[in-house]
Amino acid sequence: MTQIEFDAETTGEITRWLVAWRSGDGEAMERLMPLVAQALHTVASRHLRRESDGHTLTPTALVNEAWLRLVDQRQATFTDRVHFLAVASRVMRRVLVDYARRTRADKRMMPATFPIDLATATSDEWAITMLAIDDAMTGLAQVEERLARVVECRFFGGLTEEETARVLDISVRTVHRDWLRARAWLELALRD
Amino acid sequence: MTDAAPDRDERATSASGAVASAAVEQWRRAAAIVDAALELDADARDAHVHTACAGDAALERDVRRWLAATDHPSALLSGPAVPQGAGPSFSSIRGLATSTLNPDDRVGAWRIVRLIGRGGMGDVYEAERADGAFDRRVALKVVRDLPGRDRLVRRFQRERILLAGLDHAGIARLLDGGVLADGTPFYAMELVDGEPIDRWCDARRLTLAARVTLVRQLCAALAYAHARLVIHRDLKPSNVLVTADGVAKIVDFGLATPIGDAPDARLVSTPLPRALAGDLLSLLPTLALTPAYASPEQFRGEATTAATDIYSLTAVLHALLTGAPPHGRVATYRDAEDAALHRDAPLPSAAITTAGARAPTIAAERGTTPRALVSQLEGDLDAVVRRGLARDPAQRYSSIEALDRDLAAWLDGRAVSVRPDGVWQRMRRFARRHRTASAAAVVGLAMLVTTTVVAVYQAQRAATAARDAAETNDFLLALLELPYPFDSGSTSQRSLRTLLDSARTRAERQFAGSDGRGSDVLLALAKGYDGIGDSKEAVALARRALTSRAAVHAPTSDAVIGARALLTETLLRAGRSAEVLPQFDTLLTALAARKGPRAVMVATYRQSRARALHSLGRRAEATRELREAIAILEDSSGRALGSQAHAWQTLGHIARARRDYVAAESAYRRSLTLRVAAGSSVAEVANNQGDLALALLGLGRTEVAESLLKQSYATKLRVLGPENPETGDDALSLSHMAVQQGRAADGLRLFDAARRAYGATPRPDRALAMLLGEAEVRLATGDAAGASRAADSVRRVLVRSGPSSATVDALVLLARAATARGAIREAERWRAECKRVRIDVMATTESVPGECP
Repeated sequence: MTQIEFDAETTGEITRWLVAWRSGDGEAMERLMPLVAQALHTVASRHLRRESDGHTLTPTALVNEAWLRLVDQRQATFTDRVHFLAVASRVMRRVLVDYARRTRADKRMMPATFPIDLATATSDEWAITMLAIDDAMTGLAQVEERLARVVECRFFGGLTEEETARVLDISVRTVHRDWLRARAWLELALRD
Repeated sequence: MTDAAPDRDERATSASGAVASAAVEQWRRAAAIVDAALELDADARDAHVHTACAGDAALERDVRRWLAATDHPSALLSGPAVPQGAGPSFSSIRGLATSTLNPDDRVGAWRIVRLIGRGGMGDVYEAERADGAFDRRVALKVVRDLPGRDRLVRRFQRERILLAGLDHAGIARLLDGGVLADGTPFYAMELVDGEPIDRWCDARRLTLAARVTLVRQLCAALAYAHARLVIHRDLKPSNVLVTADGVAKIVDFGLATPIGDAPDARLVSTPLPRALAGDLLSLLPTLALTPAYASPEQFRGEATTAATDIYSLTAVLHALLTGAPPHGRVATYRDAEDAALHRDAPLPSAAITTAGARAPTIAAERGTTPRALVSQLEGDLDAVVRRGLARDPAQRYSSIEALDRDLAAWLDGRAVSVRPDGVWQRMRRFARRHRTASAAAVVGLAMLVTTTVVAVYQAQRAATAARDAAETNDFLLALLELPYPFDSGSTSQRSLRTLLDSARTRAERQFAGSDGRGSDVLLALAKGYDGIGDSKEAVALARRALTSRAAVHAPTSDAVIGARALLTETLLRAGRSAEVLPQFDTLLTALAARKGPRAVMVATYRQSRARALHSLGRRAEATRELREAIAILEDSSGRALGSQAHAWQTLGHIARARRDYVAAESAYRRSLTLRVAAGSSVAEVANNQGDLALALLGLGRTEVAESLLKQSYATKLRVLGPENPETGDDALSLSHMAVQQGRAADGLRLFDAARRAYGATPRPDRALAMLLGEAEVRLATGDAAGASRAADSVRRVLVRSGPSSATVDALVLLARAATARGAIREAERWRAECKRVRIDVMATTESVPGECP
């Protein structure tokens, strides 16, 4: 299997910003986003080149692989990984929504109902739903920011409940309930 | 309530929090109950919900729906977020990654400071001049990879001269713009430290008067921009930022993508959080991401005009007055489209009346009570908003200034201008405006009214001229292509003129003293003026171009011949037939001296020359010329069918002016056949049908004529739409026929259709034709005094240009109207003048005007 190597400058910079975040630098998230986006892109395109192995590239796999390749594991702490997952989830959301937007941009008509099963959706349905979810999440964040963050981590970032709990610094139990509530709410919102 | 409570205080500090607070409160109650219920088993859950909702039926319904949905999760959100199946791949990530700039990155002359925000269209950064030459920070927008971007870039490049020229306190100034090495466009504009206008107003609990005063600031800024041919296209509260010291600034001027290809318009979705509890979530302002401020014409994908800004500004006004955009917080793009296209927005007062539980909050944010708010809105403000939001652009305020005047009047407690639509008042305005119509207009009118619907595709000519100009010169590309936003609107001619005037001023500065190069621009400008019907200016410019070229090129060169050909065209349309003849002679001589195939060209010019002869009344010569031209063209192995058609059409006109309707019919039929064979546009064919119809009318075959004309009208309605002046020509002719046949009501209806088709500022010849139509319709419907006024304004305009058939028509109508009024002596006077002018016309033009009464 091809080994993905990021240049020292990139890994160094990401690690630096994660460390900065650890020490409370408010800008760190913002600084990290483009770096992480670039890294995810690199990882993803490597995967595409050996697509023949038939694996679906999931957010979980992507994010985890990026973490392993990107960050100097000797320097990284557990907290850094949590921060990285937070950034990666947000990046994934943006990436997917941007992609959906580009897919959809030239089509003006909306189907009457939203497709519900993303796994079997056509790319078009997928894009519509993705954008709908994103919009709904924007509203969700206004009333209950945490629910939106949970969706971001669980759905877009592909994080587990445990990882999500660490990222958001809440209990696994709360993540579980929040995820149930958020998912139900999104379904209702999209089904209307 | 559990863990939802802590951040309530934070919410309360947000300006929009107040609007949504009731909804947020309700959300929190439902959320807390659901959250707690999830820890319980089914039975306990039921009891918990019942108790916790404490008899609030709406709340309980929401909670139960919500819980039910957690019980039966569908596949949505269950799988990974990645797209499945065909197509999507992660290569799309690149778009994001590469367009993300980092601090200290250089973009043109700018250095990125930080990312401020991201929108569908692109990213916004705070940036500063890299060389420190400019100490203010700017907002630098990078347009990301999105469909339609190329178009956006082209338009941006075209407009940026004008955009950059906008220097107004109420407009965030465009400072720079360009394209990065990878083709990514960017622009830098004044960084505005402000708050969206709606939030700004609500946070300060501004009264209606204060809000209207703020909107007047926007009017001033927009009027300034419109006068410089820039329209905003995407006005909405978030594009109007108010600074701490109360200055409203409009941002993103002229940078919006058309709705059809603007991902940032959130075409897709905005799912309806109405799912829970009726209006619970529909209250949340941030959820209304749909184009709630977009005009109907934008949804229809039509050209955006100044009227578009008037609509959107009024929509913003509506939101400031009532707390919601015109159609409320429409949830989806489709809802927004449907509402904008098919429904009149509720009046502001009605919006408050129907706001229910929200009304007290809305009123409180305006420092008043719901009842007082409604009474403030009722009447004048309602009327102003209704006018500004008219679905038909032509029915809106004619300009931002007009809207502003009404807002000023309201603030001063004076009556606003808005009254039920005054058809006749508008007619009168046309008349006033076009009293100075050029001689060309008059010639056009004579043909239009008394004989034929002339196929003068002036609007198309303007567009073609713009295209030609674009090919001619980049300098003009920037300017001449610009007026398209105004094309379909009521301001078409005015704006084209403003544009041309400024282009000419620039050209004169830029090309002063030079020859060859400048002449291209002069010619392009000549075509532009010709296109808007200002033949006088067109002739002058064409002449200058010719002189300039003749100084450096041989008389037989393409350059000189081309310029002279344009001069003949403009002279012809200016009705300066006597002047044009020597030009044709020179032209034909030059062509004769040239080598190579030229027969078709010669014949085409002779055909044009014949038109001049025809308008000089030298019909015999004209006919001979046309016949010879036709013979040559027919010989040219099937080429130049269009010119042949044109020649036959002129033969038809000549015959009809002689009242030889048999010959006219045959010529028009020939022309029609050729046009069809030449693959002319449907509109041109329809137009030819119109000519034929009028010939048939002369033959007394009224029914056939009318049916042909109706056919032509129907075609134009379909192809060109009801608002195209060409369509109006047919409506006007049909109106005339209806009146002639004693069907006054039909006549009025068709006249009205013509009036609408011509728009607020019709071409002068059409304005005059319409005045004659008005006189006729008024007479038929019993308003003799009005008929007299209309006919007399035509007469007075025509007096200056020498007698024509149209003068006779006006005099006929004056005499008849006077008779109808019982003004016997006046009628007598008009009859006498009619006879005198008629003889004059026949003597000088050899055409045969209508009979005097």
